[in-house]
Amino acid sequence: MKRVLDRNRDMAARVREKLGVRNVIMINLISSPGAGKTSLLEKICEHLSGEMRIAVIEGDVATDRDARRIEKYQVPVVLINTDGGCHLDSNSIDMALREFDLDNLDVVFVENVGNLVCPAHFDLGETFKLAVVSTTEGDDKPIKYPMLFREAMAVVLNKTDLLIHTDFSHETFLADMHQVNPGIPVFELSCRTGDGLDEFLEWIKLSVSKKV
Amino acid sequence: MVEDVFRIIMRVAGENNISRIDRVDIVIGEYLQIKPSLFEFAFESAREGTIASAACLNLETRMVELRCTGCRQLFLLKDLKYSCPRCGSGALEITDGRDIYIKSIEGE
Ligand SMILES: Nc1nc2c(ncn2[C@@H]2O[C@H](COP(=O)(O)OP(=O)(O)O)[C@@H](O)[C@H]2O)c(=O)[nH]1
Ligand SMILES: [Mg+2]
Ligand SMILES: [Zn+2]
Repeated sequence: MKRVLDRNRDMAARVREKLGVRNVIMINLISSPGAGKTSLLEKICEHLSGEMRIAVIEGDVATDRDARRIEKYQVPVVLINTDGGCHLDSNSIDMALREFDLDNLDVVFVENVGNLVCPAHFDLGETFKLAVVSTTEGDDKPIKYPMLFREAMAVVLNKTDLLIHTDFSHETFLADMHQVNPGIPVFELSCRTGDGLDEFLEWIKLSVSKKV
Repeated sequence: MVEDVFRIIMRVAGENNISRIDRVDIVIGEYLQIKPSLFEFAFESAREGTIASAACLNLETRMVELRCTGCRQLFLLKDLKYSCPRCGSGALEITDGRDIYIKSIEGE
């Protein structure tokens, strides 16, 4: 019997160890394409890069567009092109981390490839996963992708500014989310208007100072 | 995922001097939400031109089994209800159904 994910899991453990001894937090952002991972990272860099040392790993199937959006904030960025691959793995993260000066970092954010299934299968050695969903994707994500929402430490519900234009039901979304993962924190915000962002950024600060 | 599976199949075949793979048995935990039909489809394209080109794929799924960390109740996941049927607690650990593994490879 050969467990398929063992190799990835072993490397993830090594990555976790490497980050752990240097007190670096790593946060793995997972969402469908277009939910707002890069937008959220832009907000994080804009508001928090003055008070914590941030680096970003951008997983992208083919382009460097997201990496370039982040570079504007003067934080170190490493791009991993997966060449069509639908998820990042711990080996590519291990390689990417070599590009950073880990002794002078507090937190590494990883933007995973846009996909709600495969990225949840692959432990990258992160401290925790953060799931991002947007109101325009519908309210059925928790029940359709339970693994992701169980594995995630918290959820961001982005694009609340568009709620009025959708038939997104808060009630259904939250009820399903708490059925799949009771008590998981859900941050409702809009990267566009900035609504709800403060509370989320405070939570990130707490997580990075290891109080969560 | 299919790529990872294939890499292991080829390695195991190499280690055992198998030059033609006839059958592969794979077990998929339901927690992973891998659709068997999609997996089969990807497997069929991955096997082309390899020593597994005529291999028969046998997929088996395993239900998600959970244990309540409070009252220690063991139960199978039903209707995605992640709470203990005995005490209602949501503090659970997954004891089965979260792995994908290759059970056996046959060939000569
Ligand atoms: N209306 C609205 N649009 C948003 C919001 N956040 C992101 N977007 C837009 O959604 C699109 C995809 O965002 P992006 O951050 O690239 O998503 P990613 O694929 O998850 O990285 C972009 O056009 C963003 O401008 C939001 O809160 N409200
Ligand atoms: Mg992006
Ligand atoms: Zn119980």
